[in-house]
Amino acid sequence: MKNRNSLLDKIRQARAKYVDFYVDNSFDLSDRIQFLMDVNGIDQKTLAKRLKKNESEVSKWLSGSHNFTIKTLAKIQEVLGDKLFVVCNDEAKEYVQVKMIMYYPVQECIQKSENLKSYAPKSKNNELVLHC
Amino acid sequence: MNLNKKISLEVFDEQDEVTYYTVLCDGEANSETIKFFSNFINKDNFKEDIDIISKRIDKIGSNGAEDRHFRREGTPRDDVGALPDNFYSSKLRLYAIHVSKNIVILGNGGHKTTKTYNNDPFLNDCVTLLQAIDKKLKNNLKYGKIKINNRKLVGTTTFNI
Repeated sequence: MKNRNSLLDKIRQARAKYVDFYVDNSFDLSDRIQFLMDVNGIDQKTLAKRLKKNESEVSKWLSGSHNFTIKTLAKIQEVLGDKLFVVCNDEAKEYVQVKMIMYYPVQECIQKSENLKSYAPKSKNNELVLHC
Repeated sequence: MNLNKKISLEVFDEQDEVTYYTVLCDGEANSETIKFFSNFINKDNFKEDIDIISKRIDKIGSNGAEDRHFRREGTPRDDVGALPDNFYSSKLRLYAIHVSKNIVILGNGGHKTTKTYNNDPFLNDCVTLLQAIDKKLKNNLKYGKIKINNRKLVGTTTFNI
């Protein structure tokens, strides 16, 4: 049983959701930069030199609390040679596969399913696989 | 550095990759970290900062603590740092000792309104306390009075600084 602090738990429960997203994203981004630096054998000093920045600024990026601009990220990406993040769009979104048991005729199932991209009826077990 | 204080290191919060300890000074009811959170938890203008600090604690706790997660305070000889300062427009600091990837000791902190922490007597005291603990802890680790075992400090965790 892990020892959890009750006051910290109280803060967690009242914590704004956007803060979770903000910290998750900024940490993950700095981890990704650190990973690509390791892969490329580049240290903070080298990255700073190639981007014409101070080493202290690169250190700040890697702390996981920096508010990056898109332009800065693009420059880092150019030096590190790989993508730092992917922007979601409808076209690139992965299909979610949903299995439905056919209690209705196929056409009615399709009409009832929002955001349907395609479907593949399967006779076995009356399953209908929908790609939404 | 002799502060003539007796302190205990107590588990504050256990997470998957990090055990957070806090400092309890002899004769006091609340630990240093409880004092910090209690001081700011009900202040609306610091709500976002407290949220961010608590989330940072959780994020580091689930990934493991790296040097780069802390802003270097103290001196190059010690491992005293603060959770990074780039909290939007505020300058709330929570000071800590980064002992290892799996152990972090949280101290006290506050709203930094001066250029450096040394210029604020309260923040300076927060950092000085952790520096003294860091020095003693390193010494105790060196001579085997304290060991790190399974993300825990094992041994004499009460000492004079």
